[in-house]
Amino acid sequence: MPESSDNGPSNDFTKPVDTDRLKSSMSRLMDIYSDISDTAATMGGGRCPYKDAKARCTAKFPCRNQFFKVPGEKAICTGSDHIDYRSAWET
Amino acid sequence: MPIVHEGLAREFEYVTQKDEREMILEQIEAGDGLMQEMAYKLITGDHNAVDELTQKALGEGREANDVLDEGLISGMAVVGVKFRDNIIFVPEVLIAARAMKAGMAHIDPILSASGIEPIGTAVFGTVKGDLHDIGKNLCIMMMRGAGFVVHDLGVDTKPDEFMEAADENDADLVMMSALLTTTMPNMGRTIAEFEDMGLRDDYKFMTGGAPVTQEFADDMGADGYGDNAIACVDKAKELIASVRSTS
Repeated sequence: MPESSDNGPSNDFTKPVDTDRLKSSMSRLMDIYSDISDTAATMGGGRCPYKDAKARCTAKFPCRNQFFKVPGEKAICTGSDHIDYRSAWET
Repeated sequence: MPIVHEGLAREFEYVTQKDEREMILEQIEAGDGLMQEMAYKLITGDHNAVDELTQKALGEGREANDVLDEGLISGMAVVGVKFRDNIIFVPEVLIAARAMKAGMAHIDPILSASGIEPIGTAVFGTVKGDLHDIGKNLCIMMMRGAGFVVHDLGVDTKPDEFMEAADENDADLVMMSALLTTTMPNMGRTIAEFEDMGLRDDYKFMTGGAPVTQEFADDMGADGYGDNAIACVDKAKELIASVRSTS
């Protein structure tokens, strides 16, 4: 299990433990984490991390969403913030 | 006991859906002032306080079941609701997860003593040259919640650091994350270094991160790939099961 904290783990194992309830509690915790993961995946899938505040592409690799309006300058990102950007990356 | 902790009462106001309010309130009200303080400190991400309060609660004779349900999980449930409703964001969730980890450090030995053993052991790092760790930290939170022992190697993890940690912790899984397309080939290089040392078959290798795909993971010679944190946990369980069934 995860490493202990500075104070070290408590070591009183003498109290009775309801293992069925423990399993149910851990299952509930996983449900909470699953919801968090779903939310994070939805949020993270929207805006490309290489798109800066002025919608310019900062990536150092080709992407189909790049539009080089002015040669030599940073590309403009033409990707929608509502569509997963990853499939446009040419990696 | 009704909510007497002012801070927790304020936090609870963010839970607005009726069914969620009832479920979380039932858990909170089953506890006392100490449990409410613990839930509040978890929501606000004070890992030192959660550490001390969990230790205190168990030391005073409270059952691990109660500490887990009334203090830790009730707090995390509020965190989940606030995150879903855009009141807090990923960094705050990860800070709360760190507080959860501090509390679980006291619960985990009791789980083990009760016969609930960890599913497996993993070492998990962002690969060499890459400093991004939000996705990795979310996966680690999920993995720990699912019952894995996870040793977090942090960012910019070199192949020899993966190797050393896997050996030291008797790991089953070596898990690698990358956000940059320029660093993701280091996943393959890490696996290659294990191969060079004759250690490839001692571990299962998993890869993930925004630019990583199943195809890329296959090219790198990884055993598994997770598109998101839930898939990562599912795949890790599957790989552990395959190891156990053949040993």
